[in-house]
Amino acid sequence: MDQLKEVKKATKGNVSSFEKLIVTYKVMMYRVAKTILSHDEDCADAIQEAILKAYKNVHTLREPAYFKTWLVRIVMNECHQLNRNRKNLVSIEELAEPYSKDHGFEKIDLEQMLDSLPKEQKQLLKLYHLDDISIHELSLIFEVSENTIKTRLRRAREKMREKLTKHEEVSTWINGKNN
Amino acid sequence: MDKWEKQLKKDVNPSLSKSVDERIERTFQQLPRRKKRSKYFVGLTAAMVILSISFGASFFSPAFADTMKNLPVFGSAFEFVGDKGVKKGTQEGLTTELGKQIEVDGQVITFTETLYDGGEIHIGYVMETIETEERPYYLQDFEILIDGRYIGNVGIGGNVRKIEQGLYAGTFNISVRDHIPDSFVLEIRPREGRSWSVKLPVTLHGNHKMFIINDAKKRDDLTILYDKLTFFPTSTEIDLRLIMEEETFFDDKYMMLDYQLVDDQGRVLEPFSGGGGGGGPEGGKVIHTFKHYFEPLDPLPNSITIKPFLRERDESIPKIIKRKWQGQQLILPQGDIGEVTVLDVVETDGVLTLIYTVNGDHLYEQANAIWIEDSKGTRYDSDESATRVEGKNNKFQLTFSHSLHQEEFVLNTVLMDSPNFLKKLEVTIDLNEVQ
Repeated sequence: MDQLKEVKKATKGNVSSFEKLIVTYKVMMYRVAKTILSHDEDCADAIQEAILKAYKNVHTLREPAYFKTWLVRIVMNECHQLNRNRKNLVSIEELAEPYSKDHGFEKIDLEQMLDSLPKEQKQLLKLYHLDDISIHELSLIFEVSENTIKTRLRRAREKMREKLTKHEEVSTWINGKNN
Repeated sequence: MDKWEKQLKKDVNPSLSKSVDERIERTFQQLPRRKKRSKYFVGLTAAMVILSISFGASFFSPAFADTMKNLPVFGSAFEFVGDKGVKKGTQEGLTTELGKQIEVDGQVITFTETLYDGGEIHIGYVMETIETEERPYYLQDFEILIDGRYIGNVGIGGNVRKIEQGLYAGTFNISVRDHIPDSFVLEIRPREGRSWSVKLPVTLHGNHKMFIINDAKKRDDLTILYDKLTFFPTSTEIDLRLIMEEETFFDDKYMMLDYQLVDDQGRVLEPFSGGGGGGGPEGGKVIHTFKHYFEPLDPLPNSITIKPFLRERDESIPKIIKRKWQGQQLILPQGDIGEVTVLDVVETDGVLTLIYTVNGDHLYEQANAIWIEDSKGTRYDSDESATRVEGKNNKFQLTFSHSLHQEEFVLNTVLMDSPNFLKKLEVTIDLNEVQ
């Protein structure tokens, strides 16, 4: 698929092209939403709103190459909006809900560690580790230079390590010898 | 990368959950679509337009007897507004009678019957406005469940007609791509809000005859795999798959692909509905599955030819042709596609019936591209789609519930381009051989 061509068609009101773009980015949208919201139902609500808003405003997109980061920003805004509207402050317990039994305890630890970081640093660390988003794209999403993103990431990682050193299992988390 | 980062990377890259994926699909259906109308649509009657209705409110289910007592004098929504297949099924006793009601914003919708013969599922209903406000509700944006299971892979269409002031009759036809049981409970509820739901019993009635085609036809960038042809009591169904390159798919080259069915007597079957789809490209190829429905045939013909064609995608304003009716046969030219010859106009009990022949490449589209105007220029569309006169391949009639007695009126049609028939993809099925 020629994405730029599809974006251009979408900006002119072509629904089919817009849908193809959403299908292309739907996994990424879900993962971005998951960095902010814990429940799938909330993610679905935010993504639904994001799709409708993106469709409504896609004609305002001047540079087709920025469609992806523009979409990520809409998804993030909708997720934050949902949190604000519902005052849905996610509890530590909910965050700690393990994805799998095998890694349950590790995930609790990791989530707790991340949660102790400033909100922006936690968000940036999660987005940075997404398969689908590069540092360049992060710079577009947060509207800062790539160097600024790298600096912020370095600080976030240092902070995380600092927290981990206070954690009793620090050595295991850093060097991988936790067994 | 530290171990905690490896774990984080794993945690933040989950697979897309099914519920979110389904929501995205449903959201697509909410996007306002600019309709790609061919010129012929201009003359189509309201009855041909695919409608659906949305409403939200309370649900209640009084006794069937009470419901029927409140209904006006006509037996069945199917008989009033159904296509010729549904009417045939009703006459053959294939329906399951119902009396389920929902009340929505001062409107009562009574589901009167269901019909399922193995093809599409049909639902009949009557809408009654209690309040003075004249506002028909068109059921739309609802989802269906079969035996409590959400069905996403589904096509929904329908007709609705005004019976009298504040009273409407309508039908839905639901095409489910997945296998469904012979007897089940069909639940309908709005996608948003879920403030009401209605559960309708559906049971398979009638026998069908299926012919396996299993034939592939190719042209440079498209292959059609014809799977089967099935004759149901209320419809004729073709099942096929389209295989094309990823690039062809994304160019939407075959988005407007349609089919004409012609029997060995040269009779063109009336198209009812159709649709399908599939996933994205795999290995550079896209495979999509479709089902198309046409009028039922009884007795069966000796052969059926399936003629794929591409509709034009011209969205410019069509040129309208007007001719004053002066009581004598007249020709309405329709451009490259052919022409209509109006033989007679008869008025009985306030209903105007137009009798005419159609010559051209796409009889049903041509036959439906006709409307009338009175001397003031007020437009009147026909009550339902054109009906072929029995025993004649190209003779049709249209009815208009408007008395124009002693008044001059004008017949209208539009100029249309011929459909682009894809000869290489055509297939003829000899029903005496393929058993």
